[in-house]
Amino acid sequence: MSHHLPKTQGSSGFQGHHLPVAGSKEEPLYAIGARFETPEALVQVVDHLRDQGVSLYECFTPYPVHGLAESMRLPKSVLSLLVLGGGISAVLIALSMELIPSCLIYPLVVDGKPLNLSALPQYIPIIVALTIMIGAVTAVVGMILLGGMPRWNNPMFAWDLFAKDASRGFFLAVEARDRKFSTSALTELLHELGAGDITAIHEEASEGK
Amino acid sequence: MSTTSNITTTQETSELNSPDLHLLERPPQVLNNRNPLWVTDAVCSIVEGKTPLWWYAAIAFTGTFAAIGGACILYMICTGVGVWGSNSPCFWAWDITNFIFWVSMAHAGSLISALLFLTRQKWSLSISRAAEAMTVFAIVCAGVYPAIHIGRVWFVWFLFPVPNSYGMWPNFSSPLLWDVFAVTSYLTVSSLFWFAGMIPDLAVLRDRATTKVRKFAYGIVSLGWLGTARQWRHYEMMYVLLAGLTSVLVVTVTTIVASDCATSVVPGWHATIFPFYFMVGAVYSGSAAVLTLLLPLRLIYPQLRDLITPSQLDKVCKLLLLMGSCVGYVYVFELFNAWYSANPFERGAFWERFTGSSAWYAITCLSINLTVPQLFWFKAVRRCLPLVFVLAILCNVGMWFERFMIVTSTLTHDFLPSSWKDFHPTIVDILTATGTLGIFFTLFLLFIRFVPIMSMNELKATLPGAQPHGDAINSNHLAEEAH
Amino acid sequence: MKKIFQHPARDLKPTLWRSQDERENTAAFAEDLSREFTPGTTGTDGGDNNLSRRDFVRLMGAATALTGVGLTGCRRPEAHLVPFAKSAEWTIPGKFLYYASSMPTPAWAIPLTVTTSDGRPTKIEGNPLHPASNGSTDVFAQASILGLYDPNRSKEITRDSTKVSRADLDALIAKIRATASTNGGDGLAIVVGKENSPTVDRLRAVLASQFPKLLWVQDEAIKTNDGAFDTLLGAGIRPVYDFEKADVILSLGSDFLNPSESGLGFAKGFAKRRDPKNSAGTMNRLYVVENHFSLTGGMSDHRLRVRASEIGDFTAALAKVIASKSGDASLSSLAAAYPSSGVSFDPAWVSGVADDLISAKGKGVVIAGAGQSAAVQALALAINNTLGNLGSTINAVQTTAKPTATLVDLSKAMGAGSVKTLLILEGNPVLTAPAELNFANLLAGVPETLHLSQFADETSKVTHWQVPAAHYLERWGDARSIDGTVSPVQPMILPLWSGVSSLEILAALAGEKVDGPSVVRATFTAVGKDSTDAAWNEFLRNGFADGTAWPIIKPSLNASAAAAAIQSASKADPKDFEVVFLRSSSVDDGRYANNSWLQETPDYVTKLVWDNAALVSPADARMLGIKDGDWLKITAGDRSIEAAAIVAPGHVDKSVSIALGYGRKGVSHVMDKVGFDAYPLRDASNLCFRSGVKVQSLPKESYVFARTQEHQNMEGRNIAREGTLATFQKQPEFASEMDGELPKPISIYPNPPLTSDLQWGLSIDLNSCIGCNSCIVACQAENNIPVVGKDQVRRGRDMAWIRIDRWFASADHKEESLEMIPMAVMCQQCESAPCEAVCPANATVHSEEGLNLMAYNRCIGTRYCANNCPWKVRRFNWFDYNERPLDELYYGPLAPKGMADSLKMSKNPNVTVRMRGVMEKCTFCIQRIEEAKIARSVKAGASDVTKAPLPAFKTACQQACPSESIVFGNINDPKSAVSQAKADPRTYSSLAYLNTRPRVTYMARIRNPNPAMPGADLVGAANRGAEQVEHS
Repeated sequence: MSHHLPKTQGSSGFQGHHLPVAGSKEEPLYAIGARFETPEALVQVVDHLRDQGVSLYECFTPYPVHGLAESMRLPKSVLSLLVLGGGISAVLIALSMELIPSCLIYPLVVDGKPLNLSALPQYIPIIVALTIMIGAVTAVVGMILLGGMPRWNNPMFAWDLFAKDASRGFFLAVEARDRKFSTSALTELLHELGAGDITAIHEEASEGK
Repeated sequence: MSTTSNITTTQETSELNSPDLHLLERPPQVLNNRNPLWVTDAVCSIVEGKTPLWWYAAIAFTGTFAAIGGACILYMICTGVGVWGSNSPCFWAWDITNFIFWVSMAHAGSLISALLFLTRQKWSLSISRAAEAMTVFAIVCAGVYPAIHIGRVWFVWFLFPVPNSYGMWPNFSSPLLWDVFAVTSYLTVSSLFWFAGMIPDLAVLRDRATTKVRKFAYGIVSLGWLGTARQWRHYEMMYVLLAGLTSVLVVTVTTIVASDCATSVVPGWHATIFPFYFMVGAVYSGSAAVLTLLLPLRLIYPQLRDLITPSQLDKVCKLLLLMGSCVGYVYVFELFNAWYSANPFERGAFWERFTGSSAWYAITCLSINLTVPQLFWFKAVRRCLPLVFVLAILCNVGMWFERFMIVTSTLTHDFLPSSWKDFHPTIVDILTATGTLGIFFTLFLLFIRFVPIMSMNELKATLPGAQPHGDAINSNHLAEEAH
Repeated sequence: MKKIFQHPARDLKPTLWRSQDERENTAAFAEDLSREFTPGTTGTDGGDNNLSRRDFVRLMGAATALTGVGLTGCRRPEAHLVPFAKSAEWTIPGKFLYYASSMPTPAWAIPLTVTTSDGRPTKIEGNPLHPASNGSTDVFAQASILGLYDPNRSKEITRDSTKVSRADLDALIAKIRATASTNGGDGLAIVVGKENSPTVDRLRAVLASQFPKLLWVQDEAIKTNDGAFDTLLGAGIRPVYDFEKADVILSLGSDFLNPSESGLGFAKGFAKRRDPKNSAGTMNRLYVVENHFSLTGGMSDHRLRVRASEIGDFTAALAKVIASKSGDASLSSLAAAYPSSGVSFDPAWVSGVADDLISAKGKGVVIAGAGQSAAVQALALAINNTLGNLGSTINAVQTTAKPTATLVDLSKAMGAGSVKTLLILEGNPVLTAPAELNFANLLAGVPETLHLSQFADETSKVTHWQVPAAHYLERWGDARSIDGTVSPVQPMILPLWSGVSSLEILAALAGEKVDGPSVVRATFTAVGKDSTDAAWNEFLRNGFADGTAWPIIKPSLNASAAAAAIQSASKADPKDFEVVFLRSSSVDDGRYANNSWLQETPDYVTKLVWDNAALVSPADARMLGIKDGDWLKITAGDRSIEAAAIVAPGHVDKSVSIALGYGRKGVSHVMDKVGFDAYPLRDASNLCFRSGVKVQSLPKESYVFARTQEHQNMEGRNIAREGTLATFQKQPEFASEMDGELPKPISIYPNPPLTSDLQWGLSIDLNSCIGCNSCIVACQAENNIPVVGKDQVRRGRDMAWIRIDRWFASADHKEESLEMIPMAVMCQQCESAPCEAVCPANATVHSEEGLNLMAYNRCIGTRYCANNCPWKVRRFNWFDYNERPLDELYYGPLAPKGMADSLKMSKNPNVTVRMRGVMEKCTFCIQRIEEAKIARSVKAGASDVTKAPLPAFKTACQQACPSESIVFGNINDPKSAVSQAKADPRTYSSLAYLNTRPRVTYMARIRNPNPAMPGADLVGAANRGAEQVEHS
């Protein structure tokens, strides 16, 4: 049995420029959206768009699709560097927090332990714990910000098919702002590449409908 | 399309023979060749379906215990630590016993999700979310004790490195202060790990939400996740980083908690094996706890049987076996060490532990932890899930007794026999302990009701045919032939 | 006089108001305004057992004025008392003032210096100037401070339980005097306790001359030897033992080392001869024959378990041997005359002792216990006589004590109805009188009865009048110490609850004008060499009158009296059990039953608090099939008691020992439900022990005792260390070499230097420590240590900063060779202290003087320090022991808060009173250290402080120790006593292998066995027994 997604409509025949519309016609066009059944199809269309020099487009997948980012020529995430920085600063914070009071400001004879770095071992556990905590916080916060989050409104939500359950397929949206943007050419191309549910996405009306 | 329609329960025999046909193949993550939509529905249905009656009953039950526990804590705080059974020389008893018990239980969660993720052990995917939740909740319970067990709770801020009227600072050489930092960061990191892992799935719930309230709530917590390629790029990087950090943290935290005992001079505590001791003990009790939580879940929600497969449970059992054996090794090694040290105090500590007034619980602990995990050598046992459930609970009981033994029997028989004195718990001790159990299960019930208990995106990503030109396809065909 | 400042009249429509009440001008506000303090702010407004704040100030003011009296010797009338706001001369607020006084006890007077702060006596110390004192005190003296402030004391004069005024009392006395002077005192009887007070003696003489028919009774619950000595040595002659001269000592059931038993001098003299490297003469040797482990028995070199009733037989047997060996016919005839009960003793043991005593002719002491009959005393004196000890080691004094009638005579008179008026001045005969007298009924039959006592107790319930007695710190008086030297008893504070002293009553009866010290002064004029004001002032200042000591004479045994006494001796009954009545280490004969410090001070041997118990030997316990806490029924004649038992190691078989003074009912909540009353078993003929007693076990749920030490055995750990004299001479440092195969301590890093020129250290000599508990109560008084009550001690939460671990050891695990070693344990002030490392809040850290400090206000109570303390000397405030009633600790906030004001007065102002949730422990009395340092800096002024000498001071425990086995000081100074002590080869530190380097070190105990004795090889082998365990 061939598996996965329900068949998309519209693969029966090309309907020219009468695209289904999401959002309100009054608002400017935001993007042309399309849905694909398989990740392969999505990767394929991305390659074509790239060849045609379309740059302002975005892919939406229910799970990380291997190879997609590569075909999109996305750069490696800088998150690792951020976390490294966070970790290093954490080490410095922890060290100064421990050594300055215990050795400089208010040195106390405790259990006859030395008041200098030769007692370093006793300071390590807190350094490690603090480093990991700050590192982890950096990682999550970094991911959220780099991922353009938090953002609770998005033009894509105007497209019901997407908004109702994005996990039901592999979506593509080419933004109208793109230099090479042409509804007709794009629609044609997407259609050829077996895209379904090709939709013109407009912004929602500012006064809710 | 209704969510329930394409959820069909299947008999498990289907999975049992597929790996036997192709011994080199890994058993599939998801049985019966399910597709992504089915996975989504299966997992979301638990949250979206109508709240079942048993859930109300259960949470009422656990909530009551939690409330009683809270009342006991309040009483203790405004009356004095004396309402517990602790005494001199046993200044710590059930408070630290339960603290160690819960912290250790927490570890398995992080380990299963983080370490196994790093080592690409895909079999753990379906249980990792629940395991992480268990971690967070267990840390919450653990955190209760160090917070309240002190004599003057209102001065607990003396533990934080903040300037104060005495111009004094915390003592950074104290393992208790290490605990403060360790537990804090463990709670933070594991919560982040848990939450970050949920963001995409919360987004799914948001999309599928039917009521305004749900849409709003899930919309807020999912932070506007869209699943764009860019988000996934950072997300995957973050997940690897967090997994790495968490794995290190787990080891750090156990070591620090172990050093509460190891850095003291008390015979029976003062041993370098303690970090290892606590580590294996932690994973041991943690895995047992995972089984204790997942098996009933699997019973209640039949659709999960395709996601939590017998082969995965089988692997958890093997983990239990391995760690249980390590724990057993430590027991034996401790005794050898005491004898070999030729130190009358060390020898005395263990002699008293097993012959003195602490004998009954010391022996209970050993007899459980030395025998029960060994039963998992037998495939029959590992595959008989009801039995596994019972044994897992036994393991947890055994581990509680181990903590009790480590803390109490050691303190009650220290250097000078003149100060020896037995410990007897009071009703407040007992109700506080059951109170933490109540908190734990209450939180877990809320968890299964309101968030996806499995990482849908990870599951889908590993489904056959999920990845472009991946070999997953072939395994998928094989799965088909198997039918 | 107290002033009340009137508020200015206020207008009823104020333009400015302090509260809504005032604005509306309510009655409540007017009421509030009329009082100086709004209700509640004064803590308690004169509650029944509390003092209002104003009384408190008045008392302190009075006291400061009085302290002036102490030095000027003329008592100011109360009208001149100044409010404390205007401080009287001599007082610097916050600075202590010390006054000489003394505590009258049946066992002679204890010379004291009393510490008063702001006019409140807060601490008792011995008077080192006094010839008969080494500046130490016993446990009862230390605890008497609490006795003074005890809120349960009786507070008003009552007649048939209705309150009456002091005037009524005076009227009564006047009436009695009137009648007496008409009929010569016929029908008038007075019962007094043994106080050794010259003034009482003088007044007695006066009264006797005025009222010849007066019946004068002196009564002590616990028997003394006075009667025996009167007949054997002559009227009023008392032996004085000089243990400093004695090489060989044999104790026949005498606990002479116990300070509470026989004064303080003995322990010190004995200790002087225990030091093995003491060049001045050899180390002494102590033989003890006793039925239960006493402090003296614990110190013995050879100990024989003999039933109290058979000690006479032993003495006779010994006398026979000595007589035959030294060919003394008279002694042998005396010995032969003793009615033997046919029991036999190990001949080797007897002859061994005999030989040793003979070899030490003139340098030995044979001392028989107070409990023993005149016959045994006679034999003992005869033996001493033969050995020529009389006159060398045993001298005598001619006291002024006159024989008096006893309770028995009194009850005869009462029975005959010839007693019309009975004044009981102190004492509690209804409780303590021999049971068969049935004293309560007799007392009820007397028309007019008056009881002067500190508590409305059993006797007060029966008498018509109950008069609150003044505590000895509230009244004038005087008392003789063991050598006869007269010491003053000075009031340190006005009577808290209008107490009356027995002297006042007696003087009033004698028609003397009672005006402060006048009565005492009169006596002083009579006894003292010099009666000038100067002499009187010196008397008060120094705390004794020079040259009032009795002359020392050579005692001579009255042979015929001895023979008579021995003939009349009663025969022991070997078949049945005997019951032995002990002086309680906590409540004496019951008089201190309301003193919670003492109630919570562990018994020397059983470590039992808040209870007494029937002590039985392990063999008997097996025979009766009982264990600790099981119930026994003890039947003597037609009377019986039920008591829970404790199996006491070292106890002789077929004998039960039980302490007196417990099981009192209905006096105060403190002594309720505490212990078992043994008095009903006593009768006049055998006050100290009684044979022919039936003992059976009762099938009742066993009783839960509260004991501070539950484990007796060292479990193969060399904690307390001992050896024999031979070992010591062969291998002086044997103690420090006992660590055996334990690793030698090494440090991996250099410790930060402790910079001060003062480095405090302490040394405890196990060889002279007798385990008398004085240090425990001294510490409690000095450091405001709370009492926690029986229930909390059961839960292992006692708060004592210094405790005495009592170890039993036996090299061959047999009762015969059992030894008892007391070991005082306080914070060891480790240089690298395990407790410090683990405290997360830095609440316990090290001072540059090597002290392990405890910052209470920084402590959050994690209790980790206590877990990590190898000596378990840290104490935790599990509840608010100071603020909440001990029986309502678990009520939390629902329990009433706050302590009785009188108890607040007893606290040492220099020591924080700790709250709940805080850890506490010994700090070497840091408040005393700081006081001395401040004094030093004051003296030094601009010059270098470290050059200035530090004023001499002692820690509380050291100061109280009768045998001077605790030495504290600066270990930086090689000349200091503590440095000397630590240099001693016997010095070792316990748990040395932990390398915590304690500042407290111990000096091993040395026993001096006689090789000729059976089982000599097992003596001093506590640790040998230990090693066997260790390697098994």
